[in-house]
Amino acid sequence: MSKKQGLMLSEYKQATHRIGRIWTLFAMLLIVAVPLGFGLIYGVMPEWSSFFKGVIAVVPMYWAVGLIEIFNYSPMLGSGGTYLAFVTGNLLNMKVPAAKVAMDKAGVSAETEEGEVLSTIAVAVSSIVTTIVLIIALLFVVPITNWINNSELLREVFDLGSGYVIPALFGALGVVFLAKSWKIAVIPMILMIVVFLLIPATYAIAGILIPVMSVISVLIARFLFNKEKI
Amino acid sequence: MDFKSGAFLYIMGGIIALFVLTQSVVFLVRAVRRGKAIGLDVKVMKKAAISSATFSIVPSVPIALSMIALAATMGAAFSWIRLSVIGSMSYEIFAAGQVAAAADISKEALGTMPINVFAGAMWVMTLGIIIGPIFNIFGLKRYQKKIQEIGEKNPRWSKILIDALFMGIIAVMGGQFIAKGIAAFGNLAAQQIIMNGQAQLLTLVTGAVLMAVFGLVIKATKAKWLENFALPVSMVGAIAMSVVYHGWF
Repeated sequence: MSKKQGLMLSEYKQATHRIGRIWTLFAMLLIVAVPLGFGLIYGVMPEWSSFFKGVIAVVPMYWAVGLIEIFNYSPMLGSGGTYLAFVTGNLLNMKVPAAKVAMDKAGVSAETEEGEVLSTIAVAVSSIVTTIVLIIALLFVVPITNWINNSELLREVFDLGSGYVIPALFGALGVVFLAKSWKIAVIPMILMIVVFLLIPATYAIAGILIPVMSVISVLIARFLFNKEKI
Repeated sequence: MDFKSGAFLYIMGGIIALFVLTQSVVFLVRAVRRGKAIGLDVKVMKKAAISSATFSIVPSVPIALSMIALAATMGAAFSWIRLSVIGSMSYEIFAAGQVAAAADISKEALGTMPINVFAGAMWVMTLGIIIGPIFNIFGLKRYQKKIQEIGEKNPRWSKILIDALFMGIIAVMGGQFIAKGIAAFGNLAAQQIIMNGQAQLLTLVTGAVLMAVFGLVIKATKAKWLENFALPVSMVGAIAMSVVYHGWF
């Protein structure tokens, strides 16, 4: 009996990987079809200079973080949960805690077959809820966005360059990280303030500095970790 | 019609929402069947589904708020798409901002982002999140065993590593507004570079203070549910205060 169950388990997992890959492949094609289709329909190519600057600022950083996220969360989510959660997103603030709460309530852990099942159920239900909430919110987005665009003050406030959304976001995010890891933060933070103050031209290439500062931060963290200071 | 609210993006949004719903249902049904096959109590599975549904409503609100914040620049349809698949509220706003800043469109009205810059921003935001699916297709199966091994070997370092990577963003973005604010208050740089610098610095500080207050309240009252609201409410509060600061300078 136990041998049969072991065989079934491996079959289920094999099937999960097969199905997971197929769904993920289609999800990826759909995601790429959006900018691609937009370009073809409107006959427009990206503005290359800002595109490349954006890629340099965003891609290395987020690819690294994305890979580490898979490293970290996959054991908590099981295989079915991982395939699903990495298509639907919002892992840290939603899918991982949803799966964990479901498993904790049942008193099972993620490595067990029961954990795998419950985690998948939790992630699936969570994805359905978010998708429905977003559809409802979409009905309100258009009137709110029109309201913003019709007011000069609000346009200035929501401007991504000289407006206030980004400072508000990084003030709130920054304080959490500074409180949590101030030892890693001090040197990169001071370094950046000094560089920006002394060479104002660096504001224009701020995005390019991000991967550089990430590497510096990791080196500082490793040094402190090895010295057992963190 | 404005290209950001054209039929194409809404149709794609609809297809993607339907795709996500279908995939979720397929995985849900498979898991429930498997649960029954291994003798898992249906009540336990039901409980897991209900607890996940009720838990997920609260964190969905900030995601919806981010969609509204992002829609001001990227339009409602694309924001909806981006937050429906592999979405992350801080990432999306940041990525769009990087392209907008690189294109130097800060002085222009938001509704008039040139179509080629918009196209570039769409690509950057898409490419930034594509690594997850790529890895899952080619590597997840092989690596799942190894992942657990490494995590068990040094779970503390892997957490610190993520924090340090994020610190790169915080140092550059936070440092930028602090330096800009200092320069603006001290009149140390050209006016167009430090535009709105004082108000931006005050907004940054307000966001930080509100977030810290949330942290203290959560710690004192043990109200864990507040955690999901801390970031969006601090952000919205700071943005609301920025209207006041903007009037000052």
